[in-house]
Amino acid sequence: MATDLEPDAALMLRVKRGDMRAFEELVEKYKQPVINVICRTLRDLTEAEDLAQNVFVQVFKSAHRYQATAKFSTWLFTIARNLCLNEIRRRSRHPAESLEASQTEYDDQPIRQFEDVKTFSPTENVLQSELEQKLQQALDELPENQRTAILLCRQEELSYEDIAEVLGCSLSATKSVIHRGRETLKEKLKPYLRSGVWKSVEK
Amino acid sequence: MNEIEFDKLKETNWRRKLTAQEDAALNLYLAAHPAARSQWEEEFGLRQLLGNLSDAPVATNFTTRVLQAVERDAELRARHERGVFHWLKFNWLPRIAVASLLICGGVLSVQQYNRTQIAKGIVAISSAANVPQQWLQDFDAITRLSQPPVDNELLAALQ
Repeated sequence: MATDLEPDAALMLRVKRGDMRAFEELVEKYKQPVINVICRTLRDLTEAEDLAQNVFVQVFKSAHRYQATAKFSTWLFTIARNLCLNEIRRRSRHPAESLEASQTEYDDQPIRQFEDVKTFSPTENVLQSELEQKLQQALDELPENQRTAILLCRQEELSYEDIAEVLGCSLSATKSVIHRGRETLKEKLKPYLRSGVWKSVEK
Repeated sequence: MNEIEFDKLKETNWRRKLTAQEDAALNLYLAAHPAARSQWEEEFGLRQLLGNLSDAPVATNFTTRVLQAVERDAELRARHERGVFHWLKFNWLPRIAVASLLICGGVLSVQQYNRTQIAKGIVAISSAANVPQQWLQDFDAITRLSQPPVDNELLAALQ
């Protein structure tokens, strides 16, 4: 029967039996997408790493509850989203502790600096950085569910049904959330999209 | 291709690159509907922008840290469980105390239940005793109302 399972579910069944190698494989495979989503949501790399670590610890602790019928990535991103929401709630209860507040003095700079792994020319680099900053700003202004849906859309292995499950709403509602989010992004980034500057930084 | 199919292609574009066949159909549609081109350019541009978002840097020791955290957590839980188990296993006095508490609790709750039942019965009887005498005058006749009438012929035959 194990051969019918998707590879992640098979790994998860091994984790259920206490196989640490299988767990390590899953962490290796999903650490980047999970940190990406959390980082774009919380906009704090250190906190994103800590939270991502908690996500995987939670996965391990809840392994006994995992049903092989459920898609692993959906389950994983649901845990990640719930922990993000808890963190956002905690921040709203204790706004003084928000790390974003301390960033005001750097308002003229991109809020999150990411390691540049692609090779662009210096001009392209500046353009890429500016575009990314604008996009991040537009993403930040979206409601949480629209932002999460759009970020999950970047994960090609997640279908609309999977995203709907992570968001805990119907398929049509999810499509509508994504549509609204994209429309807002297009509206906010119109000058950049119309001018075609994104073409010059196209991969 | 019509507008609905065009919208469908836009939706497909959110998730993946279009196939050569889809691309050809799209180009035909855009050639016939130049007004839709700017719409498509925006959709495609946004997809590219989202696709080009840089990955967040991940610490090289991230996986090791996760594994260590998992081990730490398992150790803590095991220690806690061992602690409680050890306490119960090697301390017969607390064990007896816990068992006595459970038994006492059970007995008390049974007694309480019985008392409540008796109290309910007393309340029911006392409320029946307060009913005026004339209300009970036709009690027998009323209770027989729902019964079938007496078969006089059968009674006579039996006599």
